[in-house]
Amino acid sequence: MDYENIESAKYTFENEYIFCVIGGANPISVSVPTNTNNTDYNKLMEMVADGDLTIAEAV
Amino acid sequence: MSTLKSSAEHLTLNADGSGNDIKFQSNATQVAAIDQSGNLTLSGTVDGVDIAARDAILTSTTTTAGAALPKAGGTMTGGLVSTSDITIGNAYISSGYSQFANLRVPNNGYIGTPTTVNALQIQSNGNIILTGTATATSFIGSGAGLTSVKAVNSGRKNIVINGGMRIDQRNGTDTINATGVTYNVDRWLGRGVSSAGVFTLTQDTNSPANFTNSLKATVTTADGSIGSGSSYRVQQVIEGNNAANLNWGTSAAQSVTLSFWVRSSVTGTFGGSVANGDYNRFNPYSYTISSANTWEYKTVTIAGDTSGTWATNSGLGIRINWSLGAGSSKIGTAGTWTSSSLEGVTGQTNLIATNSATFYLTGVQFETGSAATDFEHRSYGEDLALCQRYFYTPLYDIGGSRAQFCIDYLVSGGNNGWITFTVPFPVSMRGNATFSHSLTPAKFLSGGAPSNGQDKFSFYIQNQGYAGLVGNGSIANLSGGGQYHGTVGTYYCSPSSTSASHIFIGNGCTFQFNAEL
Repeated sequence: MDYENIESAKYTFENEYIFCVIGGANPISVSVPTNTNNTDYNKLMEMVADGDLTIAEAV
Repeated sequence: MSTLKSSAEHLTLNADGSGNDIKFQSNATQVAAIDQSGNLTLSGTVDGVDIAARDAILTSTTTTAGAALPKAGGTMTGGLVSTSDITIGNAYISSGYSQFANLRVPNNGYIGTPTTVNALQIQSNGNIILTGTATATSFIGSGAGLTSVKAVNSGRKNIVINGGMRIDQRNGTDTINATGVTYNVDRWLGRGVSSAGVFTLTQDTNSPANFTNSLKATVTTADGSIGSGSSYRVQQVIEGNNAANLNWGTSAAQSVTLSFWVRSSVTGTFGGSVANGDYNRFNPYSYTISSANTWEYKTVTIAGDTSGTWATNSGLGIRINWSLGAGSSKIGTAGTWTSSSLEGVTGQTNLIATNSATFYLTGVQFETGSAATDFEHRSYGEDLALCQRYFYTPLYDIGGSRAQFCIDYLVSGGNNGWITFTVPFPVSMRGNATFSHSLTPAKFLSGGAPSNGQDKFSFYIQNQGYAGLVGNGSIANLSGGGQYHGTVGTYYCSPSSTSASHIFIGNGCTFQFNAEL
């Protein structure tokens, strides 16, 4: 997952996933399960803790 | 001729006086003597016959001559039987005749050395107990009665997955720089850490005999002055479940042997390391690449770590690193466990220092024991299934232009419409997977199915044709995931028809589930 090119991140319904839009040369949409056994989720939480990422609440 | 004779009584020859012997001469030369102790000394033989002519007597156990053997030379045609130890000097025991001449050892008898008397024992039931290593060019027998074959590591011995680099679901070339982990060939990742060098990873067909693929690293931006804390590496991470039998972190830790084929445009001493998931236990190793651009086979045995924490669940168990470059604080002594974060070995060659340098790797095996055995060639399907526990795309090697999925639920109502569909997983994934896709409204294909290589998707109605796309939402919002199957869907976006049955996704799209470590 291209963490450096995350354009937006938001929780989905009941916070089951973090939905990210990834920009860059090959834009993709990514759903990251909110599960500590998922390495992408752990990385996103590190970025949040470091102040490098804000995850919007689910709507 | 003169004769000394006595006919009716003893004939006495008396050399009277202390120290006097009875001597016999011929032509003024002594040929025999009897000293006062009764010892007989001869300059010839007893009867003029060589001892070889006494074989008939020497092979008989009923004569005292049975205790004698030719001291040198000659050939024994009979068997050698002893009721006590036989000591043989620096010599071989061999059969100069045929398979019918055997070396027999008494029941529970030993063959050994003066210092290791029980090196080999042949028991009465035919069992052989060997305390050393058996070396042979072949072993004959069906093996049907074998109860333990650990020594040859048969069965599932290779802990590494896709060691032959055949499975490449991502199917691309990745640039490895200082930003995080990037997987390329299945289960294989590259990483650069806070450094200026860049290299690429891709699958390649350059390979040694008996292999078809390799993982190729190419330096695209050289780093000739690596910072002390920088490192560049190729790595496979082992799930804890697959390394639990090694007992690492306990007193029963097993040794492992890493073997692999490597080819590089740069020669010298190269390094790597084995590390735990918490990244606080490290053991560097080294190997030498002797010839440039030549495949070479390497083996490294690593003692099991009796300390540290090593995951035995679905978490990260073991990291195996091949260093392409490491700074001074990232290298250390080979063969020593440490808590220092080491990626390579002291004095290693840094491939990253040479622009356009190449490094190929394949045939990687990581197995228990202190000896490397032949690479475990799994079937293609087995390798693929093992990889799909960590990464799955239904667009890989599908033999067609698209993947198609049945739409489970569909409400087609324009802005109120929505859609969900299920993606069957061939195997359960390691954990709840990250779902990534490249679908956007612009990639909707109206009135047809995506052709080979197209980054397009479309909706299909069984036996009826194709449906349009409606709603002001975006297919880009398609989200979801799963562990045992993928469930994905989106809102404000649906086929224009209420009866659409399938979604077609072209094999040029990104559509993947990732549960890598």
